[in-house]
Amino acid sequence: MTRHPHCAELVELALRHAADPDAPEEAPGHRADLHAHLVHCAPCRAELAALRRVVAALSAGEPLDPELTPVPPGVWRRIADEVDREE
Amino acid sequence: MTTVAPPAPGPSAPAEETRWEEEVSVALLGGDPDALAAAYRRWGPLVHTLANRSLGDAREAEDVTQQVFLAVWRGRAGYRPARGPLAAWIVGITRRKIADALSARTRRGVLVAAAATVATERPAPCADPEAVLDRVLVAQALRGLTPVQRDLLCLAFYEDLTQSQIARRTGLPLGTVKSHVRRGLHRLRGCLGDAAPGVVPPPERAA
Repeated sequence: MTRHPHCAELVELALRHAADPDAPEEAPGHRADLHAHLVHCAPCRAELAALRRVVAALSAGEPLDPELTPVPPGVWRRIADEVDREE
Repeated sequence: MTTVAPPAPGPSAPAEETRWEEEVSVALLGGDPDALAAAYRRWGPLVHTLANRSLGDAREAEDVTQQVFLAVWRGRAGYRPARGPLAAWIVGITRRKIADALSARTRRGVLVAAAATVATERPAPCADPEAVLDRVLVAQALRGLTPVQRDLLCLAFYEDLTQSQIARRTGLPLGTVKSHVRRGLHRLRGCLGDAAPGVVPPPERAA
């Protein structure tokens, strides 16, 4: 198998794909190597997929309110009761 | 629940957070219920927020939150630390429970429609729930980046500036902007949790 790409190359690939899925390949020899590697390397493919999803989520619009909703107090009681029953 | 789980670290200590997460993982795998309590304190609000945002129903979100942590407890032997952090595993379980809740809702809708014996409207399809989850998770994870990474990513994505425009606006060299954006994205990539099986696509133009 060819060498693993540097993480920066996968980030570039994810960004370029998001900006223009039909963008011409700037460095054909190198990109061909990268694609050949991706075909055979599941971890790098998963990494690229994760980066694409992050880029897509960021591109999806205004940031969501990052405040989390507290869980109502009864929920933990029900979980703990269930766990105690199973102990 | 007798032993004391480690206290959750402060929000601004990534190394401490990782160590804490490892301690909780070990305790959870060892069957310590206090580790479940610690995981609940740390990730309960995230799980509940994900359920609430994608289901839009407080009752259902509570049920899903309860199911997620019971699944964490009952399925703890299936957690493989080598495959990713505990948080990602819990987020993966949350995705599956939310998907279950949505299909149960669809089935109920179908039953109701059948009982009415008229072609009633189907339940309103919510916006792609996976995409909503991703946006909540990314918004959360942005808070864990350095301020400069966060600011530059916000300029790039929320204000739609190119990296050259960002460099001009901030006075930072273009190379610096590029490397902050790269590092920021790289750090965010782990926040989305396990993708469902079959989600990982093949590369777009295999050479």
